Amino acid sequence: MHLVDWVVLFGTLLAIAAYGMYKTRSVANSESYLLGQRELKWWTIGLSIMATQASAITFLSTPGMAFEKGMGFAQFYFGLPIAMVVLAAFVIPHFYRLKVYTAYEFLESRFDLRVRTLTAIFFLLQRGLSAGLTIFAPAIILSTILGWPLGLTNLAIGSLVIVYTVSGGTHAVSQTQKQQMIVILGGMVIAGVILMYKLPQSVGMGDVLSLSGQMGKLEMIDWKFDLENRYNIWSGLLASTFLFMSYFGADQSQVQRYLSGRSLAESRMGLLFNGVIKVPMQVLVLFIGLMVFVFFQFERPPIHFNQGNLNKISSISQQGAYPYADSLQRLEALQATLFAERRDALDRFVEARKSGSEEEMSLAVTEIKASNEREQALRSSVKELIQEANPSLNTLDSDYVFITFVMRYLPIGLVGLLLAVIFSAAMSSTASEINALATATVVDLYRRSIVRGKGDRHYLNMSKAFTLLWGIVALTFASVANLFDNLVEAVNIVGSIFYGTVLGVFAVAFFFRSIGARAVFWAALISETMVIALFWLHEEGHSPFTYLWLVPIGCFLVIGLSYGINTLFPDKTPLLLEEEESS
Amino acid sequence: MKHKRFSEPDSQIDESPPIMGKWSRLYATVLIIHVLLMLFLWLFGRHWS
Repeated sequence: MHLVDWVVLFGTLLAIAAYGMYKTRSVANSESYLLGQRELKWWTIGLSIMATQASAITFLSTPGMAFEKGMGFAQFYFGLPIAMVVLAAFVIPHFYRLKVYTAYEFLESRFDLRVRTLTAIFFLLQRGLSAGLTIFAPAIILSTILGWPLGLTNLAIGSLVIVYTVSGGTHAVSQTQKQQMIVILGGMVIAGVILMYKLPQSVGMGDVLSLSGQMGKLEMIDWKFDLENRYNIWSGLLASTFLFMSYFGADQSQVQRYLSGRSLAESRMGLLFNGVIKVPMQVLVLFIGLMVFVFFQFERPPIHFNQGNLNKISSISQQGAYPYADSLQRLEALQATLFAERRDALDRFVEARKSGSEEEMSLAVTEIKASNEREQALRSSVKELIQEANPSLNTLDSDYVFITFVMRYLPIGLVGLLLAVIFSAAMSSTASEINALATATVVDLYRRSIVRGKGDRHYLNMSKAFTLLWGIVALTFASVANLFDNLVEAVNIVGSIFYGTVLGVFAVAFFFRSIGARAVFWAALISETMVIALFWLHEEGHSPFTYLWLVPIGCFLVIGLSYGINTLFPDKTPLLLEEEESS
Repeated sequence: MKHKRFSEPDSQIDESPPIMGKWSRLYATVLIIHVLLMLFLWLFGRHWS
């Protein structure tokens, strides 16, 4: 990588971190550390919410998904605006009325300490794991680019986040996220423009869309109801709504973002802003993936996008005299011939579009499709070769598609900027996560049940200590994580296993006021066990429910079971808030 | 000393949004924008496929 790119990359990241630390140098008590003095305006809250959700994984995996399977993944986000409206209308007012630090603190007021502690522990478990993955994703890339050991790369990424998050707490997280989000959105728009510029001059946007559509990549809405299909409009509108209600309403890494708002109105506006902007932003990221697909129709793509895998099999070949390198070369030669044929068909396709010849166009499309299918077969052969050479290597390379384009085809300076986009995204979500993990640990466990009655200074210091501790835990998980099928899905799967139960507890709290603490506590424990069993059954091929459906299932299990238990063993938990107000 | 009931109204809850006057109007607008966006994406996909 060019020196200018290094300067842009590290200059951007260090400047944002330094800005965050400078702006939060006056944090002197635990409330301002954990809630940022509750002074944020709605656009900062909105950007902070978006930056928390948009991790580096979003910018690595999502374009790769569009490249491989088209734009259908957009449907996953269709439930988000609905969830934002429900939360703004029904949930946030309760949090504000109680002036809570965490979502789980509210549950003690509604139920009891057991329920608060249980949900806080569920949060710590799933978010602690996810925080590791958030660091791990960009670490793979940098370690591939630089040839650094993965552990060292994890440390390099995580340490900067830990420094400014420990230093300034929530306020530092929000301040840096605003800048990071500007870098992210600006960088992605520039990437889209450059992609268009990099296509042959004769190819216009109409050709890009027509070609993508003919290749089946533009089918964004799948109306068929199918539990086995992860992404269709029904899973998007029904199951995802539950997932997002749980994520934004009961996951402290998000709740903490809008609780730091200047007023309830600012927090509501921040959520609604996210509801309007998020889906178009995801469509943009997917569209960039689609542009990369079209770009690699006209430009010969690597036969396998993870260059690290190819280097490893070449190295094995040299050491053991196995002919893997020769086989790879043969496959690459076949791909070169195939690509030349496809280029010819593509030129005819573009010409036919210009001249309006339907017959010529249809003929060219048939050839392009056949060429892509054969190239796919060659790519599969390369994956088999990699597996044969070293069965422990992961052959899924879709997460490397976008970064391969960035590293090989972007001009000097923009490579650094796009890497800064990915690292900014990783840092912004990791910062929110470790900040929220520390807050839940201090407020819901340490200050509430372990060490009570100490001065504010003690809790401020402990908040910083727990932020550091969770940063180290996240780094440790990152160091031992393996590459999952797809990183976006891995994070969502971990969330889906716990979110349904926690959402069910909150749903009972808000909408089933006759149900008491004992019933909901046992219902939550039983439901979580059943959700984990369902996930395992699906993995073993014995259940049709993909991970997205675990959220509504978990939620309804908690509601149903707690209603049943409460009917059989009535519990009279008062609906009075424990918080005392001086009159 | 007083306790606040779980469902007790609060003056902050009645605070109007900075635009459109009522929260219900704002919620409806967000949902309508979303429906229109989904419709656009569907028609866009159909047109080019």
